[in-house]
Amino acid sequence: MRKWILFMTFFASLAFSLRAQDEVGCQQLFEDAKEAYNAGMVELVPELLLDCLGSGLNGETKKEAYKLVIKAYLFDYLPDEAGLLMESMLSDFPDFQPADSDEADFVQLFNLKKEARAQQVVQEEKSPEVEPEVEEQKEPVDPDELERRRLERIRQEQIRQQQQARDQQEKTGRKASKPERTGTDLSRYVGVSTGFGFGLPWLLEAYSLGDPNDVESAFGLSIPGLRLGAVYARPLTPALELQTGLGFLQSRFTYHSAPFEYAEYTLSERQLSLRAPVAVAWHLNPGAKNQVYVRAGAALNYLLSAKADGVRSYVEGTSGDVSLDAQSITEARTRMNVFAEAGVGWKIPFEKTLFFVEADYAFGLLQANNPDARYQTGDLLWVLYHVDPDFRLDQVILKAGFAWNL
Amino acid sequence: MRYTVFLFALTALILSACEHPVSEIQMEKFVKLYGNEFMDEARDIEVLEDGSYAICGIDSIPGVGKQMILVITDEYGNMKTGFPKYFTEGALNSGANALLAKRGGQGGFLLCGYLERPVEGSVRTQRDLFLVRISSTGQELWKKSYGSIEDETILHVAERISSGFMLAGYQIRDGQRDIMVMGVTEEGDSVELSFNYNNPYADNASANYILNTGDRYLCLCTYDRIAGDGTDILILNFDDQLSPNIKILDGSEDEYARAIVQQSDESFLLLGNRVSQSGKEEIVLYSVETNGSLVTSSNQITTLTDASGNLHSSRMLKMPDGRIAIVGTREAGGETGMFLQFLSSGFQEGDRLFYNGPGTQTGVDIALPGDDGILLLGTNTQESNSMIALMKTDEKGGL
Repeated sequence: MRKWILFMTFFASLAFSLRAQDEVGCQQLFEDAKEAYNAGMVELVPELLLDCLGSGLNGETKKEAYKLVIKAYLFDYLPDEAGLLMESMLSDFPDFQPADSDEADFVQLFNLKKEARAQQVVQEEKSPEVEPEVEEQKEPVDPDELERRRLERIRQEQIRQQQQARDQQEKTGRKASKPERTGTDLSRYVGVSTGFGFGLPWLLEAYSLGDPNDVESAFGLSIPGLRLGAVYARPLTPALELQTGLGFLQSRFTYHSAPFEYAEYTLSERQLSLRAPVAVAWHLNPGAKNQVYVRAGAALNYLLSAKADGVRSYVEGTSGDVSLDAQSITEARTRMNVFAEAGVGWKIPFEKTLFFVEADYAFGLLQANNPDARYQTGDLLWVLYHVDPDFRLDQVILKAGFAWNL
Repeated sequence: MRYTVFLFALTALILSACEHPVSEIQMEKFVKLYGNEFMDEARDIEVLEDGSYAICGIDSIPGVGKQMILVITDEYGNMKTGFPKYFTEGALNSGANALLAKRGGQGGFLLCGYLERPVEGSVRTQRDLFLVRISSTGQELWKKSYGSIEDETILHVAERISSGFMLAGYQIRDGQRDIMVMGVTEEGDSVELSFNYNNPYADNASANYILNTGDRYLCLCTYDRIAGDGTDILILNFDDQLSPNIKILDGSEDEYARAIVQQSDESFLLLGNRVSQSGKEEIVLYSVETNGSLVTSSNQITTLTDASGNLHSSRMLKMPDGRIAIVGTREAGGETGMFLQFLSSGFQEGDRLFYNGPGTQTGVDIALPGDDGILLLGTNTQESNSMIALMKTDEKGGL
């Protein structure tokens, strides 16, 4: 008797340990599957969890595992597999309800299968005489066994379909392009942004009423100019986004020169431009909720107005300063310019909106001044003693904005 | 982020202050100013053989006085090292009205003008002719002044047919100004070649421009009509033996001589200013034909007027394509600006360009650099400051 008890106890513990190891392995697989899903490797999720859904997972973990595999199928454009597994989950968890954070397609599939189950129940209630006859004819089968067979059929079907898909890919030689699944999808949006920009002029060649070889001339910074604009973006791939927009930008900068030994001046210039940028943004962490991206593109810039004022001083103070009020110098500037832009941005999407911050550097490709109008600046030439140098204008633009998902 | 922007901006500022070479395109068109923060006036410009430019004028510094100024620039209009140079005698006031470059500057320069000497026992000053001979590098070789108790001033200079220099100007006697022409040697000594018109009706007369034609001189003068009834343009035609032949371009209106341009061996264009019957000031252009020392014919070619202002011509030249270019000053609507007037080779009135700015811009002289452009010399005056202005334009006068 004692030997029999020990023998039974040994086999029971063995079965238990095997069962415990099975549960531990599936728990680990579940964690692995979640990581794979978040990393965008969704095709691994069914392979990791299907067996465990048959046995190895229970309760809430099993429910979450079902959800994870169904979402992976939906992302992989395998609606049939997703539907079958949804049916299986509803069978295991008839009281299951989707969470508010679940994706719309998941919720839609749930509602579809839930309704189908409800209709099936109604039909079964309406024609109960058929089933009893069938059941009376069949051999009595353990319900758990029925369920395991049904899930096994589903799993085999899913494996077969995955294999077919892989074979198809190898046949065509094309790697199916599947958009990466991110924690937060890229979407089209339109919005507004504001900010400010720093004009960074680059001296190409100095001109002067004196000798430019001997004259000290240099550009300088000024207070930042305002920027205001509208933005529009649409995803190209889950990680790439096309961004465009239209906006106004103020640029300010100064120029200092001493054309003669006895006199020097400082010119302050401000420009107002209409800009139309086009850029592609590459999201560095498409799986994250708060996305960081780098962007590169170009902007077409139309100069609306340019004005300058200045002060000429006598070095030894032999005479008082000569001030010049703001003069229009739009004709002495290049109207159309093209900028190459590069920058970084940070995007925080909400349910239907998003907030973004960007920092861009715009490299002016064309010369900013009009050489043909160099000596047509009137008082700037004869009062301030200023002659326009040849220069380019770069810009550093910092902006923040708010957009609405379309 | 803030420091990144600051460092970036600082780098940009430093880079923008780095040396940037001056390209050859700056030689094609430019505007340059010369002088100090007080008063500088332009008078004459010469294009030198090596492509550089020499400019003379008058420099005034309060408390110091006036002196001759000589500026030599490179072909970009940038002043050469060692210039400007100033010349006078002692602490006396002087001014340069004319500049001559011998052998394109290789033989040095001659500055001609006036020197003001105090009159003993009086607060008045008296002007004498003043010559300064300068080497090609701007070193003073000698300076001479000539004069009497009268006021004498040189307005223009030409090289003599043989050697030396021929001076044209005026002399004021008893408050009346009359024509004066005289010759000096290479060393500045006077020669027996002088001419004082001694017009009893002289009042505003002067010898304004002298041209060496190769075998004789043509001198364009402003002449007071007999009976003091206004002024006419007078041509003196003479050689190194003097014995001038005189031709007066009679007119009913007052005319003043400005410049001569040689068209051919015996054909010349004369530039003058005229005051019309209505009091409007305009430009008049004559052509004269000569036969040796005789002026055989003269014709008024054209008159140039401005609808809303007065025109004062200063100098003219003949362009390589046959056009005539005249520089001067326009006064209209309270503004005074420099103008450049073109005439076709057939003397049809062409474009008239204005170079205005705040203050006054006066056109003084015009010259042709070695390329297709045009050099315009003037004086830019704003309140208590005036500077010598040199502009190089394209062949159409565009900046």
